[in-house]
Amino acid sequence: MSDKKNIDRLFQEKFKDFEVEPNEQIWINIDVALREKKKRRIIPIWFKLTGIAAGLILGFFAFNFLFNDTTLVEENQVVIGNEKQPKGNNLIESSEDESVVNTGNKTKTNNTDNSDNTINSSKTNQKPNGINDSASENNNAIVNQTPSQKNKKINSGISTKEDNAVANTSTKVEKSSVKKKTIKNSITSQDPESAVVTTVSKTRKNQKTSIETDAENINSIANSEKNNAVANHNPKAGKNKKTPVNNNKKDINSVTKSEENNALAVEDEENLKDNNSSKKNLTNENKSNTSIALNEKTSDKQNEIKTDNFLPVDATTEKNLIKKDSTALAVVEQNALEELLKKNEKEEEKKIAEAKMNRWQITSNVAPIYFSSTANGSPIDAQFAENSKSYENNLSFGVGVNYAVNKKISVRTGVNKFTLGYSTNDVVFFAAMDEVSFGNVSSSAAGSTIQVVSQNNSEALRPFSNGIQNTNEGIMTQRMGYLEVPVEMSYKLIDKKFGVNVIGGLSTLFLNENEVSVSSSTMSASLGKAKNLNDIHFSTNVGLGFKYRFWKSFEANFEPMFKYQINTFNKDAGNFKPYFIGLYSGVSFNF
Amino acid sequence: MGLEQLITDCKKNDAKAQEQLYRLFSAKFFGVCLKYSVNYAEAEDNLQDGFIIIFKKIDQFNFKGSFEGWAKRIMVNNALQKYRSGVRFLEIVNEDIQEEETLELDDDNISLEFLMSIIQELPDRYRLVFNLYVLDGYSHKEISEMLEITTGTTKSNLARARAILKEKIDLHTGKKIVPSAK
Repeated sequence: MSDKKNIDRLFQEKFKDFEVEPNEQIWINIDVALREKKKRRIIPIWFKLTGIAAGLILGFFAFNFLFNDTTLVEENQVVIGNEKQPKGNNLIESSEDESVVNTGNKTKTNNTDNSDNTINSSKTNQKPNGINDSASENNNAIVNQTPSQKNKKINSGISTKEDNAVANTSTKVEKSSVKKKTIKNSITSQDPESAVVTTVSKTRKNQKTSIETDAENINSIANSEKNNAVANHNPKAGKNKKTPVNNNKKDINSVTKSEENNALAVEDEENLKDNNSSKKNLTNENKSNTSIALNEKTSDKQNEIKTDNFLPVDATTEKNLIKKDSTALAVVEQNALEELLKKNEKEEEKKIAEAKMNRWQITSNVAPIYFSSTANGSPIDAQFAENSKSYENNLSFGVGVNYAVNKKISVRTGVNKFTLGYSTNDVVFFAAMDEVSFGNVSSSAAGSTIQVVSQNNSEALRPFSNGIQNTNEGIMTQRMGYLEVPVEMSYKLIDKKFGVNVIGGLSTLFLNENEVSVSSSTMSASLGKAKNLNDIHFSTNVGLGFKYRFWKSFEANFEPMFKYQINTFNKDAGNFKPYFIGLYSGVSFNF
Repeated sequence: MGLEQLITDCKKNDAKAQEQLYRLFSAKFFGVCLKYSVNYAEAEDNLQDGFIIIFKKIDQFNFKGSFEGWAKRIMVNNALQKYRSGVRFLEIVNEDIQEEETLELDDDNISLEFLMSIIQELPDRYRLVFNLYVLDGYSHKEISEMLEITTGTTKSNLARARAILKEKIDLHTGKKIVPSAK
């Protein structure tokens, strides 16, 4: 039948009920896309969570920096405080009086009790400090009567605040005091000198001295019957010049005197050095001279100084002369003690330095990566969901930084590079008649003409297969390369030469390799890239860490980690839930 | 389940209802997509995207007029979307509008597949205008708005499309066609 028609009618009639059943895959895609929207909302939550986590970690860092600083200061105070606390809080004047009495008594009884004196005096000295919180001047409140050891302690205490060498000073004092006890009276008399030598540099900062306290010292010395006591006081006087005590006694003059006192102090130092170098008699004479000189100078310059000063000076000088014999021994002892002190100092410094050093750690690591999925889906195309997959084992390598927040907890980050890959088995691929696109693969130019179907349903899903001569049976491989930036915390369960810790955290993974390819026994070809891989995704990490410290600051690490990947695919993950296990091993360096 | 109920369920994002609705219209709309696309793959893409838009916007359908009309318009608009940016094809110079072509032919000799293929072979805008005007009944004014061109252009595009189609049909049927003037 032939009709005369215009073209429009021809088409209209022909297309009137034009319907074509679309491929079933389209509904699957639509369905996935519709569900996708709901999933998408999860992503911002994750971003928020990671943001919060990062914030917490930063906050933790900041807090710990501050917290650690304060603890250092507190420790210092505690060390000093312990010695001081045994005695009650006395007003400054009264405490001085007491201390004067105490020192007097003790010096009478024996010089070997120097350590006790030091404690008492130090207590009294410190109390006023505690009361007056005002800075360095309060520290100056140290009473002259306090034996040289006290001065050391106090001075060292001050210096430690500056140097943070808290532990050093306390141990030194203890050791020196112990040794003093064992040493005979004559020796103890010399100790103060050594103390002076060591403390001179430290005490230089304290420039104010109360002359009245000097006078009191001298008085107490006068009371003490033994020569040793005199010797003790001389060096003290030197120290006292340096130690400021204006607050204790209300003489306003003392402030003005400070400069003069400093001058005296310098002289004393010289004298003391001379004493050390010169032997026996010479040293005694020098001491006596210096002590006299001090008293004279101070008395000249201070009208208010009591006449008492002169009396004790005389007494001391006489006693010094008597001492001569004992000092010979003392000179030798001095040096030994000095060396000990220095040694101790160095050791303590080292210890503290080590304690500080260990906070940071850098690590290099290599790990075999075992990739897998908790579900047997396919992110490439739904038709491959049922196909068996074989997962590749790859290598991860990277570097890390570890910061010890405290003894137990450390925070770490770093960069690792690795590739994940798996193969979908039992696929058939062949050259298609024209461009094909399937699933979530965005085809490359070469790959666009390759049709891949699952062997299971290759017949059903091969609409254009009639004209195809060659089909290849093989596998389809998907490879994803990532840069991983972990942020993890580790908690030490055991921390000795051999250590165990638990690790948990998050990683951010940056996609840097993306390829889908097919291969058979005879050929292989790249298909293109997967469209549904997120450029950035995350993983939650848990693991155990084992370490062995084989050399001072070097450790060998072994850390099996389980990393579950989140949000790897931006759509249509096809029930593919990837994770990987890495056996990270490496060497780390503490600094 | 009535269509209305189905749509209501779809508005609640019910997966089963969405699938039913898809089954109901997919064949028809795939036909539409095929007409507006250059090839099968593009038609599939358009169908997929169109349905996603339909499901996203189904909330906006207020049961005034037919659902099919509403949905089809979305489908067509979606198919037109990529041509709207205009860069894809050159502006075609207006030509004189020719008289309607008539041809005498044997219906049986011409398959739907052939017609489909020659439609898809048309230059983009010719194809769109021809589809919109002849097959889907839009007026020149509507088409000009949809494609953001003048009605003059749509008319000339339509005439050119007809001429090309006629030529191809003539070739296909071995010039059996009797001249329209006769």
